Amino acid sequence: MSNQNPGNTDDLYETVKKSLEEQLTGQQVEQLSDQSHGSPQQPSRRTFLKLSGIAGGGLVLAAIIPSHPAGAEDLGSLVGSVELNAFIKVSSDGRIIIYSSNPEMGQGIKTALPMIIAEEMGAKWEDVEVLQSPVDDRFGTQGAGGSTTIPRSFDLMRQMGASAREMFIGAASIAMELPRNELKAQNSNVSHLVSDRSLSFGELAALAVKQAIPDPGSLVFKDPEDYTIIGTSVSGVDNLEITTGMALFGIDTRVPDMLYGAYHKCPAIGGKAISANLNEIKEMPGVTDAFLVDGNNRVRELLSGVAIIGTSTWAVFNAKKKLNVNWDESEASKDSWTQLVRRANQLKNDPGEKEVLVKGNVNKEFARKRNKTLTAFYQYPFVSHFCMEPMNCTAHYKAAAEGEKDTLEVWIPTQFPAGAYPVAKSMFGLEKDQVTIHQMRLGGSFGRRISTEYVCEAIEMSRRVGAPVKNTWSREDDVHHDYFRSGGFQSLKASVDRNGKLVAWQNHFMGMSIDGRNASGATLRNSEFPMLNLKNVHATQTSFDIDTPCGPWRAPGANTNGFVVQSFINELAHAAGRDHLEFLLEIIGKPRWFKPGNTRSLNTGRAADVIKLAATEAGWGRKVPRGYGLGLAFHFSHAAHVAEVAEVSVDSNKKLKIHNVTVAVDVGPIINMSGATSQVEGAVIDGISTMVGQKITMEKGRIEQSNFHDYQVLRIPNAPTVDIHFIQSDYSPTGLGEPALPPVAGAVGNAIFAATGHRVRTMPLTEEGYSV
Amino acid sequence: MFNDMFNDMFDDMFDGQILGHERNLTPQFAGDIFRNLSKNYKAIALRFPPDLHSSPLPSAVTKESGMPEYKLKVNGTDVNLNVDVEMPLLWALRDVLGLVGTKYGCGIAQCGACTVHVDDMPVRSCSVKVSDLAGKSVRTIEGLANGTELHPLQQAWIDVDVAQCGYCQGGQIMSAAALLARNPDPSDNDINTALEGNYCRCGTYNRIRSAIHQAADFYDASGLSMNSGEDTA
Repeated sequence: MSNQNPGNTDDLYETVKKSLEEQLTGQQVEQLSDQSHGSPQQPSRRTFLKLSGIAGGGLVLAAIIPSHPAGAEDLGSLVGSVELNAFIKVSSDGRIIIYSSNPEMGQGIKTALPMIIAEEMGAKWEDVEVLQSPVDDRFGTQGAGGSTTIPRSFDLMRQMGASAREMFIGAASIAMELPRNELKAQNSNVSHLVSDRSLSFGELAALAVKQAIPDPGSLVFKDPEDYTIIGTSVSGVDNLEITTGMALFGIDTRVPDMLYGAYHKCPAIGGKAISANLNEIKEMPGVTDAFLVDGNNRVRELLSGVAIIGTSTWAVFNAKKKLNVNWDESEASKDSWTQLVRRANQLKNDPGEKEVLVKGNVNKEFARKRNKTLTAFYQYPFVSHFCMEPMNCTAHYKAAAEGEKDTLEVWIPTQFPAGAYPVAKSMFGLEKDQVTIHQMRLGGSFGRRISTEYVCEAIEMSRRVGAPVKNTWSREDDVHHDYFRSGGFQSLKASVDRNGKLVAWQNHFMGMSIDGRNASGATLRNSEFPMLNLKNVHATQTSFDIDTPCGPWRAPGANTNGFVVQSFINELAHAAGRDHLEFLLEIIGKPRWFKPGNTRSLNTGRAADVIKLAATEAGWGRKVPRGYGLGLAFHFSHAAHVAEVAEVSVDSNKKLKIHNVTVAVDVGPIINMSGATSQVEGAVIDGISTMVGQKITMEKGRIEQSNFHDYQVLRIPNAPTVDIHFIQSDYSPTGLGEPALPPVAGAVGNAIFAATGHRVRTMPLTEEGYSV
Repeated sequence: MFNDMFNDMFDDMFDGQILGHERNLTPQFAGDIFRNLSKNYKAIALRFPPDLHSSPLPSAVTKESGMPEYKLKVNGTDVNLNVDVEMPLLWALRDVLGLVGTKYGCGIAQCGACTVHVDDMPVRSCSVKVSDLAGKSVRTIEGLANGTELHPLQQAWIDVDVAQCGYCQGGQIMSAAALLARNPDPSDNDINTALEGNYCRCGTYNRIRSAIHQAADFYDASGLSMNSGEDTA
């Protein structure tokens, strides 16, 4: 079995993420940050070329050449419509279609990106209809991950809107015989500034499309002071469909003559199906076929298993329960959580295999008698994504007649729709022009829907039975075959001097690796807070190689480091006899960049501002009733500075009530205020749900949990209120899908300590005897 | 007051599907809803190409030998379902009738995504068999609106912008509708109790509470009854 195969979709996430991160670091980021939000910016020609590179290889130039994208929805009803660029169509009756290019998984991007276009264009939001774009190179990188879509797309969306606006103004200038500089686009009209004359976008559409495409270098973006859409609260564009139960998600796909498929893999990851009671299965109600699939032994593509095909999802799920498979588990996972914990405990005082960051002399500080030196061992388990919509994909493999080419059509809820191209080629020999990909709404993802195994299974089943097949995973499949957030251990040691100042920090980080490569989020980075802020640091990493698949889970790395680091800082503040807020601000230090000009790096000024704001809004330092406590935490990730204060109470039976979480966020300007507050509320509740009772364990390579009865999730009675405050700084806007999650576990753990004097070092809280 | 255009559009869109039966509207009630719906409406019509949305029903719906037939009412329409005696209502709704608004989440009545009403009581459709429902009346999220008039909870869900991924929200709304039908002015505790079985992975709980209160306020102001699926005038 191979978890990670170079050059294939195993690496898709890493490749895409790396390229997204590269796009957002160094020079290009400086360029992006130059176009700060505080004042109108005119991108230079040079800037524009860089931005077009960011958007994906000449996209901008291609995108503003009017043409109809392959696979676009039938817009026949859009009377007299014109396409101003790949993202915008306008009809003569004034309807404005804006394509949203990136996958929607609940992060609100399908609403936010068109808001940016509409704003810059001068459209009235009520006139806008948003469609999910086809999967097509014209739309650039159509992925979602790493909270990168807003920072990557903000300027491109502005350019799309501004170029359409200039074409309308050009058209109006001709139609009204007025100079361009006396005209303004607003409310879906072009109006004369000094008279009451105006023409609507609908009236101008036919003429606008004949206007020269503006030189992108000539575009001037709108002054944020004049914004009427960006920064307001807009209800999600799919809300009517969601609330009335319309087909929308991948799992809702129904195509003519479709059959239903289930795919059963070995519960010990990587086991191979030798034989199964296929004849018995084929006799079961609604089952039309059942067969063994060898697969290619790649976890992220097609593992060996048993396919069952039938006339309903129930028919195949029901048959699967009766399936009896003879597995060869000689190469299957033997992973054991118990052994991993034992090993970590044995190694916690060891120096660690690999140096991450060594500077100054920690041992000198640890040896000083006047210093207070603390050690602590933190641990966090594997957790599952548990998306509400289980993994699924509908595929229609059409075998062609002699001499013609086979074709494939797939409907996928995925964070990276184009991820189906490489597997269609490597596994089924199909070139890009033989494959049509439909990106469907995702019923949650949180980093899960990046691999393509559920896609490969669907394609293989469709190819074998010669009909479209919807491959649906049961909840049990979804849990057993997740790409988990890996568990890990951190053995910490630090000193405060006699003035109560943090002077030395040591961390032996123990994380998981697969085929010798660290799992997502399981690498201790040398920039991890507070190591850059200190003079004496000794950080090392030991990796435990495992076979259990692991992958990104909302705010990888940060979602565990936020808990460990912010909890240990609280321990140190307490040992030093100091107030946590003051102690934390002292570590943060004076306002500065660690990587000057790179807005993806920590800025201590922005950090201090959110910490102070959260503390002020939460009433830090106020007296609370007996059994209550306030806890503070800060974490920087995904270019976002976030601080949180939790208020909790704990009774004598360790029953925990989390009353409120106050959050202060700086991600620059907010695009959709409703969507942004949703992301923060959701991240806080997700973080609490995870810390309270979620734990995936494995023994003999088998995942021991399978469904909601043995995997605890937070229910409505236990959801705290979330009080949210944004600092809308002038930096370019960045993403908010992830960064509000990492601080919450630290804030709650510190609040528990304040309430009880008991320190939480093991996640989830149920391991420490707490309940909600 | 009923707008023929909307009726036609609904009919076109739901060709072959089962909808809530039409009822009379109180004029002042319909006004606001229509304003909101008319804007959004165009978008739906565009977003769902007819060939995908009203695809032929799969072979399970055709009579198979040995399959018993069960008569029940779904969203006010009589249906005869030829399905296996063990088939849960969830899969008959989704795969046989094409009512995909009712969602699969766990299959063991633990997540609430599949909540529907059976004779006005909220049930988890993954864990009740079609064969046990002969003669019963089932209402799904698709049948909650009164023709073109959204249920106040649906309107409140849009106004409050509750959904993130949206997958569980149909089940949340159905549980909330059953709550409001028996308790027109629920407290936070009442809401907590009634919706504890509906999990939301995205963490929209606070907005769910707000939307239910908003819908309750709307009912209070309108003087209307809350029985979903029955005459509201």
